[in-house]
Amino acid sequence: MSELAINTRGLIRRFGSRAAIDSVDLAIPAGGIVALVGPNGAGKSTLLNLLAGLLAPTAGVAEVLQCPSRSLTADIAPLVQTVGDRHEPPAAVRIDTLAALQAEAARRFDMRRFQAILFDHGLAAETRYGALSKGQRRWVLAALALASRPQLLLMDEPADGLDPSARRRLYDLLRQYVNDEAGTVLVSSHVLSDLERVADEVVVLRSGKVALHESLETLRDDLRELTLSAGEPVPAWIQQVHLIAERAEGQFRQRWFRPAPDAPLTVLHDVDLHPAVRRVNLESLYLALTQSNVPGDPLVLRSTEVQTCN
Amino acid sequence: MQLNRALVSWYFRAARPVTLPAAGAAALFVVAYSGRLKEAMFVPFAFVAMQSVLTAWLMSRFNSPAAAFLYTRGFTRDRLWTHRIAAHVLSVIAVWGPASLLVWLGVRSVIQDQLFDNPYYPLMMTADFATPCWWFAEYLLLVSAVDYGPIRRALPTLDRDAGYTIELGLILLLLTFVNTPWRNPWYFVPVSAAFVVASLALVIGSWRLHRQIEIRP
Repeated sequence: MSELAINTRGLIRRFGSRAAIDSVDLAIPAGGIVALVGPNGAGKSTLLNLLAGLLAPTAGVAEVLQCPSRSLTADIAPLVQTVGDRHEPPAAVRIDTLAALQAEAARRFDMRRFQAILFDHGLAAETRYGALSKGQRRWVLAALALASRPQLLLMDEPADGLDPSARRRLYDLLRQYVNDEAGTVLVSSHVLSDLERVADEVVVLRSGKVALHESLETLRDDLRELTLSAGEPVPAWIQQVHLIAERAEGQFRQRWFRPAPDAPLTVLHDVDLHPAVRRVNLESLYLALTQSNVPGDPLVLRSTEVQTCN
Repeated sequence: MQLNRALVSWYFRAARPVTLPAAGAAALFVVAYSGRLKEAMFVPFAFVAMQSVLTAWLMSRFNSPAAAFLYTRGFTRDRLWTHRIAAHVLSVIAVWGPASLLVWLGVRSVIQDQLFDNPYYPLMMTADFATPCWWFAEYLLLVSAVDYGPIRRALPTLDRDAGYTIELGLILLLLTFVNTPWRNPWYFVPVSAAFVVASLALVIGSWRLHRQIEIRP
């Protein structure tokens, strides 16, 4: 039985009559970076806040590190760190004060590591938080979380405001953290190229539901995209593949599909040889799942055994 | 549970906009009030109640980004609640500590005598000594109780505003009781005990409910 870093079952969160999170079942094993993507209002921040224990589920279960996210014990609580989209300290507080507070909250907090990450961005510990730029603030929050050496890191747009080179350094730090500490990162961002570079798995949210949870490697290997213009004939093998989404844009029609596991080898051969077929990247898949004109079946979700709180 | 200085400071910082002006006002009241300081006085009670309510409110901005930041650092809810109360008590001491010292060290008496030519001082100096203890006792009943309202307000349930009604009721009852000069033991002891029980119930309530509050940044 693999250990789960995140486990939700039938998770629902309503604001009034609107379900921001709607029956989400998510099982994320420990170790690795999971990209959480979806259009604005899809429920990414709500899901992260539910996992961080800030919000209460309307129904269902949200567990992190095998414990209910709303009642973490003193041992588990410091092992879950969050960099939220609107989780910010008051502007008047100095960075070293934040580090002192973090050191009290998380026993594993490594001050030298924090300072190293801070200096890497040219920041001084005496600076007031309010005097920092948006990108620098994000960097400080990420540094606090990473230096706490958590087992689970929940990050909502952590690179928002960072310049391209800083973004790259931040994601490299995340990868290094996962490799060194065997930690788990659930990170949301709209910059899909960043996520594609470092993520192991992707979760796509659409209208509060999980539209896809799959490993990026599997997606790259299995999924294909077919783009045909208005006059081009649709190949016959399209009947023998599992269609995920379809989108019409101008004179082009795009289809995203996965060859059925029991499809004859000739079909697989024909698919790969077709000139209009290409392997998908995360951005293409995102468009398929969020802007599909023809609602497709959600891809098969990962099934993982359920664990109980220790 | 060991108190953590950084966390107490965090909450104390939030209460600063009330604590600092209140400390000045309390000191000014103590040195400038010409009558004898008595336990049954409306102004100090109203001051104590207002400071407690405002301090609790400032510490309870649960929907702010700062609260979301604090509640995701890795502290347990119970630890945060304990430090909240500790910071509230500290803000009370910061306000009425110096004012009480002005009374107990005789500074008030000297100022009344020398500056205001008050004929009752220094004769009545020792008669004032017990009064700051009454003020602290009022705080003891109020400080933790006034936390109940904002904490209940942050619950993800529908009847969350009821906490303020309970809180207001307690304050008004206490105000009536404090301003009753009648101190007959058969009346005073059971009513005081009832206030202690009510306050304790609210303390336990706020502690338990704090585990369930929502932070909506």
